[in-house]
Amino acid sequence: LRQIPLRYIDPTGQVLTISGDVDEAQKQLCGILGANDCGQRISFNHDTNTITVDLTGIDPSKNEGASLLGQLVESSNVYNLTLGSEFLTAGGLKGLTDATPNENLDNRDTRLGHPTPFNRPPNGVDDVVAIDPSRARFHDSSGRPVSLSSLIFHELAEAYAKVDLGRRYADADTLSVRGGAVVTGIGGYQGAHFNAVDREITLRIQRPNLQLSGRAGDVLIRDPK
Amino acid sequence: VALCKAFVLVGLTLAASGQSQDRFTDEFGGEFRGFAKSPTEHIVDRLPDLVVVKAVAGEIRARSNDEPLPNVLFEIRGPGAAQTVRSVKANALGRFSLGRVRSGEYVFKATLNGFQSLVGRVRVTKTADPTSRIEIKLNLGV
Repeated sequence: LRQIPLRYIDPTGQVLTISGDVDEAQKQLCGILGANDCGQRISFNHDTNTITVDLTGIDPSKNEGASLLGQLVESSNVYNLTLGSEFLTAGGLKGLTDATPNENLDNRDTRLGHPTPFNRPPNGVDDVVAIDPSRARFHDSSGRPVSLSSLIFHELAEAYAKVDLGRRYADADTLSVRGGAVVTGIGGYQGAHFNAVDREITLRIQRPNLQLSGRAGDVLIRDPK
Repeated sequence: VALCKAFVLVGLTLAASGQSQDRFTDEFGGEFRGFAKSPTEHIVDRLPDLVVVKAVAGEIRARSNDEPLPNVLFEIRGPGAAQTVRSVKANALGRFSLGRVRSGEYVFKATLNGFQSLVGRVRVTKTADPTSRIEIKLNLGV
């Protein structure tokens, strides 16, 4: 079992950064960590916008939230979580809207060919997860509301799978449509989305109370206004 | 070579039949019943406004760069409470059309693996502006 450092401070001071509503972001990361004393475990450096997570006494193999936060902090890649109505991209500030209330941008996404600067993270960041909490309100297929921390967990897990694990977003690329059905490549490849789904299912098994709320990796529809 | 081709055809047919079973049933109260599920179906966006057209035709683009999106599966269910689903695939220019669609109101869904799906309502009527089209923009999957 790999041990995550008890208190990891990245030498560059930039690994997991938060922007926008940093108080809300810390609160939501606390929910992901799931420790009663998370207020003392997650600290924010206002000068560098970086998060430090103290995992002392937490076994990541029994806490998928802690495991993910540890991986993000430990990674040599730089992740950013922004909660708010706008976020920084390589092209400058970009607004989140009713049509796109959340984004998850990396530097290698080829779904639209070479990404434009406004569809890439800012310089020095490998993946940016941006969510406007006032707009990103979803129900899952069973009608259960999806919590913001669940959404953040899914997106950060997906970001880690894309960047650190080098996964594409989807399990397979669309090849064609036959008889009204989308036909995709055949193989055992697991994309970043389903890697994140696997991790959130693990987290929900570890924390049965989460099963009362919606699962962020399910098919989601936006709450009616 | 012929044997290999036969295997490929069988493989594709099996894949197609497997995917064709991956359709919405009673989720969301059956609102999307009969529509195809993308292998990575995650977020389904709703188009708030009713689209009124004379014929079911339109264009699908990516919201983030406004480029046409080929291979998008466009489906309609209806008219009204009818459960009949018809579908077409957008061409290389992101354009699609379905012929001989009876007048009435339909639910439509646009689906592409790796992208957020879009559902909306369209009314087909002979009195609509003949130039009206269904314009769709899909968001990247997140």
